Amino acid sequence: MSIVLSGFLNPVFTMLTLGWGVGSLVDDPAALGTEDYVHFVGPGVLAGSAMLQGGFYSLWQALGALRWEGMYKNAVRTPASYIDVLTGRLVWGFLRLTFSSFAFLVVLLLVIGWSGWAALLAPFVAGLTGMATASPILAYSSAQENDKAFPIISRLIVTPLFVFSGTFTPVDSMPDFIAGIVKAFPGYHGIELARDLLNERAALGPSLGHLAVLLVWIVGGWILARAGFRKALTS
Amino acid sequence: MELAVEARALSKRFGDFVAVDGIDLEIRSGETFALLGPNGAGKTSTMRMVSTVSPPTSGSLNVLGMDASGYGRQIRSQLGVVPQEDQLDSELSVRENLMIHARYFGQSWSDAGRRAEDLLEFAQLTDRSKARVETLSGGMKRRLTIARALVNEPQLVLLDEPTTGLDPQARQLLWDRLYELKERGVTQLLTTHYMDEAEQLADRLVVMDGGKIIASGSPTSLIEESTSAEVVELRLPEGVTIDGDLPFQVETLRNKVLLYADDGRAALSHIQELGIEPTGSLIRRSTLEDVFLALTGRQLVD
Ligand SMILES: Nc1ncnc2c1ncn2[C@@H]1O[C@H](COP(=O)(O)OP(=O)(O)O)[C@@H](O)[C@H]1O
Ligand SMILES: [Mg+2]
Repeated sequence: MSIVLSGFLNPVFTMLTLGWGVGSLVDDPAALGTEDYVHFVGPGVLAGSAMLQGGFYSLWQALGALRWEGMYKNAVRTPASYIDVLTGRLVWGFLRLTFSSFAFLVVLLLVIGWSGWAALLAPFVAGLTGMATASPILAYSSAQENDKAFPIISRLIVTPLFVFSGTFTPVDSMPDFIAGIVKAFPGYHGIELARDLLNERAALGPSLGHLAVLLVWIVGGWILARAGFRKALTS
Repeated sequence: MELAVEARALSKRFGDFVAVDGIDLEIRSGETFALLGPNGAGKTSTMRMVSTVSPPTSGSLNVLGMDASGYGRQIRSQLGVVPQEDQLDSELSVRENLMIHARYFGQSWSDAGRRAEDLLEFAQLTDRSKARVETLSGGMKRRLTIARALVNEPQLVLLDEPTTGLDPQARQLLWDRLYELKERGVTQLLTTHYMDEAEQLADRLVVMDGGKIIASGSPTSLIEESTSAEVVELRLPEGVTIDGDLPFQVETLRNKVLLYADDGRAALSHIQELGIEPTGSLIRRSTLEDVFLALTGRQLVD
């Protein structure tokens, strides 16, 4: 139950406080490309908060599971391997985030109204967005023996990406240089895809493009994280 | 003779540090085999290699007839491991810990449930089945960890310091359980730094120190080969020492003096004839502790 609660209460709260606050400042609603600001920020927070949670899932929580708790150490003494443990962590994270995103979706649909069956895919996109962030950070954090650098990662990478990946304001209204950087990261693509799905405008080509970026980050992170898991669990 | 574990020149290095330094092991099916040694001897590192969790740096290692580096998954499926730290899930119940572990071995929930009942019975934890692990005593946690290691009906069970930190009563209960396992024909490899544990449980053992095996054999043969039949422990008045030419070996430790003699009573008389009056004396059978002392000049547990 706590997963569901924190899964949608946090985003809802964020949306209310930050979202509508910022929304009132948007002077050109046409630049949003959506019916109104709620249609813009709602999907943004859905995928964006999944991204944020994915980041934290790979910081202290991951270090705890790898170094301080027994579950993973115990798992590698069974037929499971350290790679199975890594894959399992990402699959579990995806399922958890997708599940909590469904709860958020219900609330969002109550606010913006039914917007077609495609909306039901948005939680899965949120789950993937979370893991596309979690996976590369896991590659880093699994190789660490302590959490010294985690506050910096959290404040300088995870949180700024949440704020600037197009969650609250259109990325294209940012300076080209910044927009270019943002578009290299998975958050932007997850947020755009969720937004398309919830605004009845998801076209196959661009959607697959966004999905591909998410998958590249997930698989790339997975490949790199294997070394950290091997060292932490089987040295 | 079928070998459960066969290691040749097995080594483990961490950077420049050599934790296990070219050891040979032959553990027969059905026997209980102990690695006896002080902290830092390399026991856990050896156990982790045998459990195929930690790859050897060099040497060859066969477990249950399979090469440890190529067949880790297959070996682990037939292995039960009791690690030095319990690593139980403290937020789950006793029974759930067994169930989850069984799932890693691909057992169905219903098979796992049936097996859990038997194992709880074996570990004498049936009445604690629903209790959260964090409410258990140290001895109960240890028994649960052993039960967990048995969910897959392993042919070989590895126990890393199974009774360290337990009170004598909890130890005795645990030894009973291990003895029953032995009766069932399960091969056991255990580590300990308690000589009485090795004497009680092991058919054969190796004494490890500094990553090397410094002696091996059955407990009785080791004692016969390396030390006298009896030991006299003496406490002497301040400033009094024993030296000179004596018909038995004398070992002076921080707080006591040991006389190694096949006839302890005669040795004690001999000392008294020299005019030395100990403030306390005890004649006992010699133990593996004495073997270790004889081999290294140090005590197993300080
Ligand atoms: N992962 C590791 N990295 C570096 N040194 C280690 C590691 N594991 C064990 N050691 C060192 O190897 C030596 C043997 O350790 P261990 O096998 O745990 O001994 P024992 O179990 O007999 O106490 C110790 O000096 C220990 O500090
Ligand atoms: Mg140890």
